[in-house]
Amino acid sequence: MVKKYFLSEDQMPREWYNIAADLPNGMQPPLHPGTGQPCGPDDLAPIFPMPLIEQEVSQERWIKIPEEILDIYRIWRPSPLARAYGFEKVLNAPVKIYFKNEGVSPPGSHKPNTAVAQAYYNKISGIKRICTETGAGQWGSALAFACKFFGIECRVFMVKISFNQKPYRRLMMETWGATCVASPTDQTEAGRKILAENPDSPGSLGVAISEAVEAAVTSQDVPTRYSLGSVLNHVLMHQTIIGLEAKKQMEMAGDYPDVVIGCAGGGSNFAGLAFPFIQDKIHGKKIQVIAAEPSSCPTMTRGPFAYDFGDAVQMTPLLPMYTLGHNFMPPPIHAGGLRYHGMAPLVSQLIKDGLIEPRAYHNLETFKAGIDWARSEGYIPAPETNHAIAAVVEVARQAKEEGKEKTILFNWSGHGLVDLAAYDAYLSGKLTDFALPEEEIKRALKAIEGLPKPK
Amino acid sequence: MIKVKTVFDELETRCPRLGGEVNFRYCLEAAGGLPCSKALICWEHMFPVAEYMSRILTEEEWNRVFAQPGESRLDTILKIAGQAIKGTP
Repeated sequence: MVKKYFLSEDQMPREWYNIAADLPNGMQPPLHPGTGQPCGPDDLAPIFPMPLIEQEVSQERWIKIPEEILDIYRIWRPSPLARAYGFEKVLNAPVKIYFKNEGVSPPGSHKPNTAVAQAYYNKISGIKRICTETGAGQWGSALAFACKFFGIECRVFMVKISFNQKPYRRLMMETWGATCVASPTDQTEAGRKILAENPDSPGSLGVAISEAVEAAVTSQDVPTRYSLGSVLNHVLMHQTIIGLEAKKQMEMAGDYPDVVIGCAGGGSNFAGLAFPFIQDKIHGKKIQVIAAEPSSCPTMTRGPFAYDFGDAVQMTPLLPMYTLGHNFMPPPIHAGGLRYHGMAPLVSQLIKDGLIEPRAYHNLETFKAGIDWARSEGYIPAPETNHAIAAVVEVARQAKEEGKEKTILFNWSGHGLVDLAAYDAYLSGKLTDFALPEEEIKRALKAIEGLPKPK
Repeated sequence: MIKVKTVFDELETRCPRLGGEVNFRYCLEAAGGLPCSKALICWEHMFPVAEYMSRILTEEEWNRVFAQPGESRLDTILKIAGQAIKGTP
């Protein structure tokens, strides 16, 4: 019984796969809001180095991975593919489950696959400093790691609430030599404005993005650019090394997946595993490809695809994304999903083309799946990875109901050792999907009843 | 926004944007003192958050937070970069 499938370093893929070359219906470019014309390199040049801009718009199917990047990848790549015999027993369904373990990288997730590439292309473009933002710190720690290996200064704006609550990712960043500051800071106009209004502001991802971008494009002393760890085409392409390795490893196992699953926040780890298999699907293979997202952040499972204005006053570039529509006043209960256009345009396009099936999972079912996983396979998954595991559970249950054998492959995108506070919240019952008791709700709403209704 | 303390304030959920746990009070003020635009969906399963918001927000605030389609990440980045280069963040 073979548990793990290893590739030698010589077998590591030498090229990334660019799915833009194979899209059945092409890809609409982002448009400039003023002209309605596609954004050109000049619009992006102050933000990203030119090699990454070229990759962003490339239609070449295969992009060579430079040796300098492969040298760093060798620290943890090729990553193992493993068979989840223990979890199969728990599910007791007619399924074989394989997982690609991206948690073996030094920062513990798939993120360095693009962080290393981005640091390299910045380096050869003469950039000395990279700025970025991070929430809980997964991306920031990956970029800090990558920058260290290319001798680039890394400055991370970490949302203050996470900075204070979760010191371990910050310490990882600092261990790798990055500067990690709690956003909002007094180092940028955007940060100073927020602090002037509220000196105790806990920050937000929006403010941290503003600070990182501003710090990058206004830097006078050192050539500086901004870096993003998800969403963009080149980021997704760098991640395809995951799926390209997995294809070779599935071949070693003498198997091929019926179902490919990844969790999808911004789309990069999902795309990394799935895109090389979607290439097969485009060319006739019958595979089900599932993108699992949080039901609290339903970018893909709510809202039709539309070529929409980015904002109500039409001042921002236009991108094809999932949206409920421009100038549409939704019923209140559905309004929250409107503004989160966080999914990668490539993933959005593939959903539209019917090549990807999005599914949403609630917090509690994802943590239950993660705990079952940890107790049967040993590894503690990152909370995001738990969404993919919840999808595996659902597919296995369906296979059992239908009496069909299925081979499932999913991306185990990262470990949860730095996210144990989330497990604490789940295990202590703080994290819940259950509504408050009716009486509690009535009492709380009554407390604001006497207030004048805002006009 | 009318600020009132309620039993909802200390409820916790996982924020998919931050990748961490936050309480409702954080979501109420996460967008420059106004609620996070995703607060309705993140909290709808816990209590009638839309009703709550409609009571504490003015119509203008509601429209600013919830009624406009959002921006993609690239939209946001390009806009911020343009403003920062012009010196008008």
